[in-house]
Amino acid sequence: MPIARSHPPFSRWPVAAALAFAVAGAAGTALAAGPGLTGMWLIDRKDFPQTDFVAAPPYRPEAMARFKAEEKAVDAGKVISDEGRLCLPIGMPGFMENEFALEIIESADRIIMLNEASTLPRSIYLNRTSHQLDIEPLWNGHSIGHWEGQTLVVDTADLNDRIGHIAFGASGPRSDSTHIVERIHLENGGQTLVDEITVEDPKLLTRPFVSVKHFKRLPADSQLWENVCEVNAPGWSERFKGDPQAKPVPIAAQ
Amino acid sequence: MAATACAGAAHAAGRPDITGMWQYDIGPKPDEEPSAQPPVTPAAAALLAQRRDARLKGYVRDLANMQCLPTGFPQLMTWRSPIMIMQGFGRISIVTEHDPGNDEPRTVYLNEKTHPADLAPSWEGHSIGHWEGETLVVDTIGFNDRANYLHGVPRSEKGHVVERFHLAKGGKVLLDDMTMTDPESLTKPWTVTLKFTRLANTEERLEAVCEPDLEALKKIDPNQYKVFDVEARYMTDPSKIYNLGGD
Repeated sequence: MPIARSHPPFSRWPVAAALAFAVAGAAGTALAAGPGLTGMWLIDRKDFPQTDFVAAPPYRPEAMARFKAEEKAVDAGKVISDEGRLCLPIGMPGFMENEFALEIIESADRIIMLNEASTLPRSIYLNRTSHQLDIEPLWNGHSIGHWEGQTLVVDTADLNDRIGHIAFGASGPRSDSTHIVERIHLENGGQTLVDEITVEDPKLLTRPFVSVKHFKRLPADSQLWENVCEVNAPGWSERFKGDPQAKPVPIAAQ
Repeated sequence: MAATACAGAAHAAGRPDITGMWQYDIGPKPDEEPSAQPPVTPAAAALLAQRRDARLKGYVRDLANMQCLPTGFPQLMTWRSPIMIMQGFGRISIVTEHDPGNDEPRTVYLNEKTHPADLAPSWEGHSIGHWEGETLVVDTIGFNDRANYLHGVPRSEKGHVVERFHLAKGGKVLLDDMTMTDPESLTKPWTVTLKFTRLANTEERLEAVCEPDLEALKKIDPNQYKVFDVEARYMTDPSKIYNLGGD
């Protein structure tokens, strides 16, 4: 029998379950749900409040003022943020807090996460102990992970200040100092994934903001669908009709 | 402990391991016209000629690029940034580094024998795969008509691509023998081989986010482009629902 050299999540699960997965995957027969994080997940509806936050993040006063102003704009009808209109990435932690299907794939050296709400994947590197910080600030941040028993601990840094990184929703107070720690584990025989998300930001928050998201495992044959965000260019002919700056120029003059 | 299931459903069955980070080999003279011309239909040839003429007059970006729309399959396999291949649950996922368009991941379903009958046209198409010995055979259909094959050859909804992935040079090279069939743009099947070089497993997948260029879009009159630019055609087509106004 071949021996797993380096796959911590699976090696922690009962042999029978792991083998069931191996056999199903190899033979291409009917699939039982896999035992590890690998698979497709959907957030529990109770963890996705579609209207207001149950409790606002513990913003500092100036950040809270901006948060409230944005809430007011939403109440007045601005339901799509500027970032959303530009099809910019959802970024972290919204990537883990939205209502679209999430796919997780583990390998020996990294875990990737794909989300139907955002084409920008997350990569969590398992073979690093420090962040790569000589790169531009990022939408999903730079994530490194390690296992503590049966819990995957993910540390995310180097987040940009183009969107809010405190809670789901592209808007929100901005900073370049947000740091996110997630503790991810499985419950219910591997059918439920729990992500405890702790967001720290000394510039924006008076204390760390913790939220817990539960995900249900989707059937093994679930597919990751394309969900392409198209910028408001379709329809743009109407959009720019009254814009004095919109002066079409001939091809040859461009 | 003998648990082995790693990326390793594949390993367990003795399959080659094509997972990892790969760099497309653009070849020694990547910017030259292809030495062997694709077997295009007269209609596709005319379209390519129109685009070439427009380029000489300044049409250096298509409207899809300004909007950061996906570049689509198979073009997304040939950008100058790494692709990442992962073995998921009953599937293989191929993730590019995004730019120049915000491409979706490709998913190759290994446990489906046939494509769904009710496919919605998509950018990356719908891919099913199976192993034939040491070769992964991937069959992709279900395209929309908003992307190109390689070298700008237009892709229609009737397109069909078969890929045969296999390793070479002791696993350091991945070859993708790709055969494109399309009754609207190709007179016969067109086969090319894409070559990828394996990168170290410490190589990271960087964020490269395409951001739409609204200023460029503002300056453009799509009526001037609609003959040879598919997005300009879509924008000026009153039958397309999104031209009916509003958001």
